[in-house]
Amino acid sequence: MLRVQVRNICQTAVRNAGVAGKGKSQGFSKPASSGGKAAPKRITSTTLYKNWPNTIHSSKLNGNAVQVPEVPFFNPINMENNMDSIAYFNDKQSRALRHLGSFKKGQFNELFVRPISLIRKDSTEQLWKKVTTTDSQRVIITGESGIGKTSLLAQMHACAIESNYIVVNISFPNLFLNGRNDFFLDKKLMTYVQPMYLKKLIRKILKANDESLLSSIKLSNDYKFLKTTLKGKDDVILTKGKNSLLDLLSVSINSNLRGEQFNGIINELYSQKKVPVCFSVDNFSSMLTTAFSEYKDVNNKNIYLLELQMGKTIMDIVSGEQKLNNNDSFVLLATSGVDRTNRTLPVALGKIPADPYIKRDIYEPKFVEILQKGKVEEFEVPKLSRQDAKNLIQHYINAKVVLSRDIESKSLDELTDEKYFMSGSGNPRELLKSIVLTHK
Amino acid sequence: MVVHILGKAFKGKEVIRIALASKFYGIGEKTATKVCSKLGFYPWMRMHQLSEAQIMNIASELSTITIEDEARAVVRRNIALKKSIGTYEGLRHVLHLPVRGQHTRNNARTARKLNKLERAG
Repeated sequence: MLRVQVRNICQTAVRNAGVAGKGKSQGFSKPASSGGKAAPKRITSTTLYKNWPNTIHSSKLNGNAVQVPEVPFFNPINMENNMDSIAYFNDKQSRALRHLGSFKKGQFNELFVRPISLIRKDSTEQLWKKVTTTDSQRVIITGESGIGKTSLLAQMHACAIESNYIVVNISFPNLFLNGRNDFFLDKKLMTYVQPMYLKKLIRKILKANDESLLSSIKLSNDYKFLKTTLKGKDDVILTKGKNSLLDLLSVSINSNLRGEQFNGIINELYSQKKVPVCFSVDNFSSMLTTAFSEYKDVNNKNIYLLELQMGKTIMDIVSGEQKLNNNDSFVLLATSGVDRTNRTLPVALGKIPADPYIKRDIYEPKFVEILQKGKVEEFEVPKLSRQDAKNLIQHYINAKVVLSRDIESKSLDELTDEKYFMSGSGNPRELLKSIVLTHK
Repeated sequence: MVVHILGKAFKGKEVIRIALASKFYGIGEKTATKVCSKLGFYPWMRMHQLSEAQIMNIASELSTITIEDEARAVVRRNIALKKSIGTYEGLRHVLHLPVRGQHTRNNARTARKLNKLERAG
């Protein structure tokens, strides 16, 4: 009986999941399909055996979600109206956030028409005030797993976009640490450059930010990229004062010169005083806990994080080696619950004493030095209050995510009491899980 | 796209270090990783990404390592030596029986299959 029900649910999910289009061919030898638009993701009954979290994240299942009327848009300039209530990101913010990679799988975004966000006084407003009005330019967001660190980071991105910041986001540092992207030793820069990763990152910066903002920054140096198109014949020359940062970002050059291009972009971003820059790194804890990447040098030794161009660039910005010339610029780091933990971060924040005799795997003194040099401050995401949880549950009921059995048998207050307890007194992810993943 | 290295065919989607370790006798994951690191390949590089020059480099790198028939010959030589100096281990090889003290009342299939005058595999 149960099996039949499960099968019914699965089939409904499959039927509602989207039109089964012609999937992209899998072979390497086959030519790319003609036409610019990618075919819709194919969902068949066998899809259920594939990596399901990836599939639900990317299958546009939210197309079938229930529209909730009268949800306001998030207005970062005047946050008071949104305070302690649910808000959607508006079109401009959503587009930027999607390019930046601020929405992640496992956030249950597929349950709602568009990603929702709870704007809170003690997290959203307080952090935004902290980075914009006080002296602290480098903040690390911490908190238990599922508390909403990445969501808070997304809200900060939205605030920065609306306040005319240039936003650079490293959404998943593992991508340049786990050995899945190509790399080479750039003799000129004396670092390991990762062209495939940089190409995506540069595109992200270009697409997520306003073109007029990028073109308002004139270059402060000349850039020459010689013999650099696909056929290796053309030269790209960008002149100081004439060309803008937009030109430097959008120039298409060969992969062997991409390290230089990225270095140029970061230098230009930080040397100018005109536009403030919001630089953020999500899952920063994965960098702190993997001092040695999966990449190997010619002697088969793992490459140290600071020898990689990406690692070095990020750590220079964190340590203050790369000066933030605009006073409004800030750096946001966020830890992640999925990463391994070690003693590096607690020591850097002065929570526990340093032990010099401990293994490097557990405590990396160099990173502690970097974090302390940059005067990185901690911002701990607080748990939801009971009222916050009530607001969220009301939205979940409106979005028809809550089981009708629960709604009919209990009042909103009773339901809130029960679910608030089950969420471990205010963990948003556990709250949503206790509502949607306890079907029996 | 099929890539040929020293007479062996590899599918394009195979990860280089895993493919080398699985196709060549005498190369395990450790040696394969070493070869890939030395030639500057990233850990998850795949066969179809190799250029002609890089394929030549792999081939020349592999030719410096004792692999395939040479590696098998080394094993045979060692067994022959044990036989020739009249050790117990040599005797067990000749008798198609386990060499390292395993029981022989039942099973011992691998030894019966492989331990011959000229060891197979």
